[in-house]
Amino acid sequence: MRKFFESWPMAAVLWVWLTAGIIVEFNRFYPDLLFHPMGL
Amino acid sequence: MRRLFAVVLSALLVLGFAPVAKADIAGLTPCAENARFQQRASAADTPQAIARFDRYSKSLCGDDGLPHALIPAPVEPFAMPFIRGHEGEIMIPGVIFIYIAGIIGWAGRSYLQAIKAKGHKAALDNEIHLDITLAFNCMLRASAWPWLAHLEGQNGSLRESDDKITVSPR
Repeated sequence: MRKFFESWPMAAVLWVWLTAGIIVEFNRFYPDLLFHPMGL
Repeated sequence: MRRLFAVVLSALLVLGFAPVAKADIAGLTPCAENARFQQRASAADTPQAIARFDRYSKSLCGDDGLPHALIPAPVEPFAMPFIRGHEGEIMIPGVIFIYIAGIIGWAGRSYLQAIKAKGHKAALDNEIHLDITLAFNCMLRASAWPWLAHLEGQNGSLRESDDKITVSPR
């Protein structure tokens, strides 16, 4: 089972899933970031 | 002498007139004073939209009433004073983007190099069945990629030597 999840297609799916989730949740809590707040 | 005058004149133009232009870079006006932006902002009804327009009102707007992002000249440090207050629009996100892209690239490169060192068979296998521990360590190490790239550039291992690069018969 571990070998299945470590095969590149599964690793890629899990990786993209996780990254997309992080970005979606970030945009939920900090919406409409047109620019980095440090520059203002 | 003519050349000197040209240099002095352009220096005066850059130093003397640019601060005047700062309030109005490239024909842009502050969004808070832009009629079309204000018109758009007054139509905001949800708290999120109000907060968004409030935040965007600090940037510069074009005639279309939409915020425009200012691209600084990152290769020209002397241009930095002219985009003061606008670093967050392109420069900071740009640096973050390049850093993260570098981590991804460096992690992949160091992973491929690490599995290559294990021998041909293991390398082929580890390209399909990832060695997660190794990949994770590569990723952690890759967060220091600007420094690692500098070191490899110094000792010459950043690039492959010319005699190992295949070329088509000619």
